[in-house]
Amino acid sequence: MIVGSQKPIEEIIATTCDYKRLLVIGCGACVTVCFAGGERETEALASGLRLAMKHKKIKAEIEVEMNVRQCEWEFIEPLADKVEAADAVLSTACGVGVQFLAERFPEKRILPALNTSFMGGPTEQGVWLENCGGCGNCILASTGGICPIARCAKTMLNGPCGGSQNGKCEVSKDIDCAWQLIYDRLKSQGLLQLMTDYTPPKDWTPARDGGQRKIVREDLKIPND
Amino acid sequence: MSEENHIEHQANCPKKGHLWPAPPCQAACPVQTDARQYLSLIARERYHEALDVIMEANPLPSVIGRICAHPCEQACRRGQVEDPIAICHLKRFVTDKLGYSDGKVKVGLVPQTKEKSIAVVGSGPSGLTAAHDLARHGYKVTIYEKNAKPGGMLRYGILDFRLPPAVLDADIENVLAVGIELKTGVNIGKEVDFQDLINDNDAVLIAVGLSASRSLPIDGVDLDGVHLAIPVLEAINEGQSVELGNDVVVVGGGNVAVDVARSVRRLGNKSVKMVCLEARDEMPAHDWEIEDALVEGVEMHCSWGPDKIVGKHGRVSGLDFKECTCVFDEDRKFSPQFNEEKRNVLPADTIILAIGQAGELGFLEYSGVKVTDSGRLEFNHETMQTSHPMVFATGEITSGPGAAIRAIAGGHRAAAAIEAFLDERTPVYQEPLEALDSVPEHIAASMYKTPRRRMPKLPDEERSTDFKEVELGYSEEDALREAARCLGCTAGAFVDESKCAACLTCVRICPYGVPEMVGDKAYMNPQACQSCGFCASECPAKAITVDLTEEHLLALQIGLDTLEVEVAHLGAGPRVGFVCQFGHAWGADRTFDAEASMPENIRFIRVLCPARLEPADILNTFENGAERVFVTICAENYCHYKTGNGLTERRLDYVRSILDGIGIGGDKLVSYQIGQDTSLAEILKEMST
Repeated sequence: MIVGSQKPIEEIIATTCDYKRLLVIGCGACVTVCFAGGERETEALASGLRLAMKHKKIKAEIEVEMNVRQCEWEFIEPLADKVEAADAVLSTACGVGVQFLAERFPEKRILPALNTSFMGGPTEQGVWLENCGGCGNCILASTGGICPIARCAKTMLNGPCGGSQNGKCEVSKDIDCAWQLIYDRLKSQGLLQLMTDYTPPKDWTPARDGGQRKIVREDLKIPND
Repeated sequence: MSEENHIEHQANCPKKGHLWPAPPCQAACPVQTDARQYLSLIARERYHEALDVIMEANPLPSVIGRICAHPCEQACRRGQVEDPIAICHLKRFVTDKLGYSDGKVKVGLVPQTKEKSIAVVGSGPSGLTAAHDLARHGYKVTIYEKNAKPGGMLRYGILDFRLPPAVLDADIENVLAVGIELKTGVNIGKEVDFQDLINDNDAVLIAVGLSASRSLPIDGVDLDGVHLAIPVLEAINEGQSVELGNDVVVVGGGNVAVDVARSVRRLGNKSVKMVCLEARDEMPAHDWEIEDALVEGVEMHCSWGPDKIVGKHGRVSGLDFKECTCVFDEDRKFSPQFNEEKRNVLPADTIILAIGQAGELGFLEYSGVKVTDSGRLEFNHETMQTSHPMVFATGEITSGPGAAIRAIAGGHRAAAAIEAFLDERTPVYQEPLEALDSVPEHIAASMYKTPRRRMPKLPDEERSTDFKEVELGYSEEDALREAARCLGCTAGAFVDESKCAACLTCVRICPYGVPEMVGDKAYMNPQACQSCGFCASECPAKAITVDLTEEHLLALQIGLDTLEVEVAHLGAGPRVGFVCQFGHAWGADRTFDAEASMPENIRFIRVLCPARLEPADILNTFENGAERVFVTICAENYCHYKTGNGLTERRLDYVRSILDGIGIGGDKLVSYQIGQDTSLAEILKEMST
């Protein structure tokens, strides 16, 4: 899933405090599950903003609306009247949702409340870890199911590098060396010979280097007639 | 849980307008009192609302809080692991605390809006209830009572030490206050003809109860010194002198027999023995009454049947009895068997027969209302009608002897039947409720245990000397601790499947391991759920709700609006304390004096565990004007729900981070872990400045 976290409230206040009527729109999908923009967090954020405005002696109306998924036109549409009535919209969705709102309501100021961080999952309640870099050409089959694109600081394809110390990355002692993990996994599976296979430089075109990516499934499109 | 069961459970979710199984206490109550709701309100010191909940089902709360047979407690699920909740004592506590039982709370008149009138014969619990329901619905209602005062067997059959007359008067006064006319000292059939009641009204209700004692067909019943129980009780209750000897034998094993025995003990230095057919554990009287009687010096002679009353010079000298080997046959029908070989004699100068009651229906002669050869009313339980379509009946005259709360239920049913008759429609009665099943064993084993509070009573030595009330009533501390023992059966948690994001948080957070995933939705088995609400306050999608947790916030907002203005002169703005009402967070001085001297800028919001609070709840408090907020949590390892302390602390940290970011400062939100040595007064002092 997409994992994000709320921006510091000071930053959110700075971008929203000029608007008298602010609509805060939460999202019921990924950001709910990662406790960044679901109903619970959105209401707490709105309450915090109202409190901040009161503290600054600024009169502002701050309302909350929830949305199933902000990255679907059909779910956004019912919010049109509320959005029109507001001076600005603060979205607690990921960057995708913010952009969908901005595209649907181009004349309206749409502001992000989250920093969208990565694709990953929880390792325990309250801790999320990045797992996938979205490179567009998956190599997990040869790396024991551990992604060096997302998890190696250098995105190395033939690791580890000399910065691997006692299983940790030189970038931080809190980060596991992805290639140490790959080594351990392959060893336990009796597949260590895969480490000796040379992986040539990757074609990054299917990744972001090829520009905004797009997947088209002609078989799923709704026929015009 | 199978997919099929899950679908069935979810389909019954009350949030979708269907019935979830009811709390067993409510299902067991003849009038379906929402005990869970009022216990929760008591636990949060919201006594007025608790009384409202009680009175939705019961117009005689002070009376029933004292004498109820409380089937709710027999059904209570806490009873699976320790003593059940003292629901009856808590009902009484509310009526005492608010002064309802002292007549200090006055109920207003309900205007008569309907032309039709109803006559009610008898002012016992069933008649009063029916009259109350009908008057509240706008009918003109008149009650006819043969005695000088209303109340029926509540007044004349239950002695002052169990039900002080002032308490009964207070309840009845409020029943009548809705606009019922009461005519006392009216014997139907003598002062007023029953036919006149039929002619002058649109319906008549017979609620005369069983006010006559039955006698025994044995030798010697005509001797001097043989009495029937009800006249003795009536005389004692009326303060009239009753000529009784010093060796008194009461025959019978029911509540009336016990009441007579306990009453006679109070008339002086008399030896009082009870003789009954039943073995001790078969006696129909309530256990707690029998225990009180024993404490007060009444002797029990169980499994004996009276054979004859013996006398000298026309006066009783003793009771001959023989062993009763069995009271009931295989079909539980009354069919006593005796061992003629084993006999005994008790010397006695007074014998009181308390072997059962009968109705007095002589007034129905020539009325067209049929009475069977055995002296019973012809009666249709479905329509509550007698053989005369305009004449209805309810109470013990139709159901036989039973608890007062059953008579109240009968009163409600009769009122519903009469209204339907007057509206020319089919009556709609309260449907029986399906009770929630027992607590699963593994959950029961992990529940926080806390003993039932004992009812303070008059010292043993003072009891048999006068008619002072024996049960003294709970203190406020007793009541709060007792009410907090309630498990909140079926109060939640409920999952709104349309919002569940399948994040698994509830599965991970529940201290009892109750939530499970069924397909891609969370599900909480109501049998296992302890209604702690932690999953609800943690759910990021707000897909979970738990009843009993949310409404306090409204009170908070209303209170703060005015408080901000009220305390403006103090220089220190409003402070709000979220106070855990579980006893473990009470500290050393949780006396009510500490709150009585509470600084005027502090308000309490009482919660049953602060881990039920969401971050927004606390932020809203600041939004609504609180300058500082404090939260009390329980001493280490004493959380009622195991993990509430840690959950609360980390949630407060999150809110503090927001307060810091806003510029208000996280230090404005304080938590106090309350141990045995913590002084609430000191906390209040610290918070007030």
